[in-house]
Amino acid sequence: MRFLKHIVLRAIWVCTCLMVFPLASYAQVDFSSFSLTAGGAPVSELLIGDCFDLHAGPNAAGVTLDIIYQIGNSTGYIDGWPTLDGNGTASNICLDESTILGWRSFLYIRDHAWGNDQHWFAANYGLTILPQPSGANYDPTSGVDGLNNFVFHASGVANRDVRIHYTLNGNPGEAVIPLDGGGNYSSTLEHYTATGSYVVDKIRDAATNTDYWVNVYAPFDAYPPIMDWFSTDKSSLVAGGANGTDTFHMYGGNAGNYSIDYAYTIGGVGGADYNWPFLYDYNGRDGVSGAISAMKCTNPAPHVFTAAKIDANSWGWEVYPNLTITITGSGTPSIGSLTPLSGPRGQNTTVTLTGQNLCGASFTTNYSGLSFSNISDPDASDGTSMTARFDVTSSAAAGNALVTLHTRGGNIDFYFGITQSGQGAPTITSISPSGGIVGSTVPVTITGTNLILPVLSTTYAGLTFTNIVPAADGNSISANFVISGSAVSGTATVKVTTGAGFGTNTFNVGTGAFLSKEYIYLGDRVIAVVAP
Amino acid sequence: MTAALSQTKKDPPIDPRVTPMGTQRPKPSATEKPEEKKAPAIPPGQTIAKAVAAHGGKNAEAAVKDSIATGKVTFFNSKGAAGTRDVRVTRKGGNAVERIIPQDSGDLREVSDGTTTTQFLGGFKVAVDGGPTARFVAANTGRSIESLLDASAKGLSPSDAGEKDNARVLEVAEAPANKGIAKKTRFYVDNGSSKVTRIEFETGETKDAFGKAFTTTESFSYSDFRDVQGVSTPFRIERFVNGLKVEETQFDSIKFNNSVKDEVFK
Repeated sequence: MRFLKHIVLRAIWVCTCLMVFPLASYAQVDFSSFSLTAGGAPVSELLIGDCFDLHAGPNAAGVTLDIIYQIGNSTGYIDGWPTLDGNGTASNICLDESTILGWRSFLYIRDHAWGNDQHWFAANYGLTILPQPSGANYDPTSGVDGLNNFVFHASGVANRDVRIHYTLNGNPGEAVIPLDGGGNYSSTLEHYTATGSYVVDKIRDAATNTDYWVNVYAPFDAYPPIMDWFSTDKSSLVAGGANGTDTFHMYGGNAGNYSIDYAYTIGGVGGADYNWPFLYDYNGRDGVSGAISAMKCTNPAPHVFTAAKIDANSWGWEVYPNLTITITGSGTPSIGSLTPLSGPRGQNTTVTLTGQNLCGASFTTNYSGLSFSNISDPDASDGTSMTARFDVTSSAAAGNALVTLHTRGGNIDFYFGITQSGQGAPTITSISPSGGIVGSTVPVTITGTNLILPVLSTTYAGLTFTNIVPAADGNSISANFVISGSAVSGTATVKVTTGAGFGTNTFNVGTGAFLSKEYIYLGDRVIAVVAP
Repeated sequence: MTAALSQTKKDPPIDPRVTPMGTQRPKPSATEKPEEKKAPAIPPGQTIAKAVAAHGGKNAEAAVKDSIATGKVTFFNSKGAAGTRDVRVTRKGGNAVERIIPQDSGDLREVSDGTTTTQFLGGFKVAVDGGPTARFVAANTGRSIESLLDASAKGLSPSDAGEKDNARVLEVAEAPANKGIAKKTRFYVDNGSSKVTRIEFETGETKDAFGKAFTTTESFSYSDFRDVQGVSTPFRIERFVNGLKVEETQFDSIKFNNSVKDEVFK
């Protein structure tokens, strides 16, 4: 019954068509221009995520198709799909994750409206759906610039170019890389490869123009290069030599464009310096410092570089050059001025020293109640000036403090006066011996009071003073009185000047005959002077 | 007439059936992906004027003759923090800067008087010609926050380079003589605060691990702004090379107008 109904309806439909369109009754749709295109070009390979257009020719405008297809060894049938537009095209047919990968063919198509009355047209159009990468990873997951290789592996694809989206230290980027037959991209970390944290977070076949991405997570760390040698171009240097033109360079293998850290011993004392110097690249790999000079105050001792590394690396990635540069120079110290010369007890006095070779200065004294602080670095001025605070306790005695200045080139002593409130002018109670002969040097002791930082002077021609040593208590001075051979006999007035004033006493200058007179006493009185 | 001829030229409705041969989808219309709207350019002078105001105003800036900042600096390597040391930075007049970081063998002194830059350490000295010290000096002198705020007087002609990282970017294309320090310098003026929060030097070009060209940068990021004598002053400075942190300076004291002598910068 159902079959009869179908026959009747079909007959009515055919008759109607024949009445309305009598000349078209045998004009079946011509599908001979069947093709698939993407981007306007015929395609035979597509990717998940791609879309294509199906063309059945201008005669197929508005036609809805039936399709017999083959995927692998299986055939299938699609009933009434797709419907073509006015150009006989079904646009934007897309492949998603559910699409079976591999080869397939549009075997036959026909006009769905005609059903079995439309002859199947043998389309025989083959199409291969290529896989998109399904995952990614690195092997290894970290490497060192200038030293290591790495392999980036994409799962599920091979012999294809893939586009990757990644971040480097958080900054996004994209690159197209070729995969070999194993799905691998092998590369070398060069000295200059940008270091940091790489994370590939998306990947897709490079051939597709769609926004289809496969999300992945593939992290990789590229570490800075590792120094593989260290050297210098000199083994000795003069501190402050040749007006600073005596220089040396540091060199670091695989260290170009990096600053370095190094460990050292200087005169046997160890330490480490950081972030200095910067090594300029000179061959795309290795580095050299600028011209380094030793300043006048540079420690005159063997400088041994015991270890060195790029500062971007932690210790453990160093080389051990055991390389020595011997520094010579830094002469003996001299003091040109001391300002002020003294300070009151119970106060701290900032003293400025000028001179030469005050390098690495420090102070010591045995004077009770005097200590030193806030000592500035004289090396910054090439050892020509410095300041220090002289701290004097209130219980310190007024007097002459013998201070020793210690420098890298040796030690030098000087006196610093300790004064007290109401400090009086100096007095001289005696000079012993009281005289000396012409052409001799006489060790003399001057006794008195307030002899603090004394300056000896006289207007007597031919008399000078050397080796002036004030006593710590300020009550005596020892000195050599130098009487020249041209001096005449007479009485010299010796003057002792301090910051509080001056005092005087006399000293006899005579000939040898005068000095060899014999004195004859009677009791405690001189009764005769006899020349021999 | 065939069924085909009975169709109109109008596109047929899409049948979104998922078939083994694909799924037809509506064509993306041109309006689905609107063109990314570029932020309109803002006259650099306008951005700078906002920054000047945000940093305390022209008068407060002009009153600063010198500064002494003390604090701590932490260095970073590829494994993280690699040690913290004292630091003292002295600046004067827009051209002179000295940074002192004590080391085992003495003070590492980086000093520039505006003409020459020199490093001192442990009795050794070396002239600086480019590299990180030169960029530190630039970030504290001719390419400092203050230099941007007084751009016309300092001879800077920055151009508007759009927006990035929530900041307005002003760019200075460096003259050949300055290319040892940078090819370009970019100042980031924060959209919210209008303060200069980053100075970035474009230092060159290299390649990344995938062989793609990579522009190398060194940048100084500023934060922890505090009021010092009316000037909004950053107390934290982070330094990055190609996005990796290499230094972090945290000042605990910044004082202006200390009558710093020129000899300090020799």
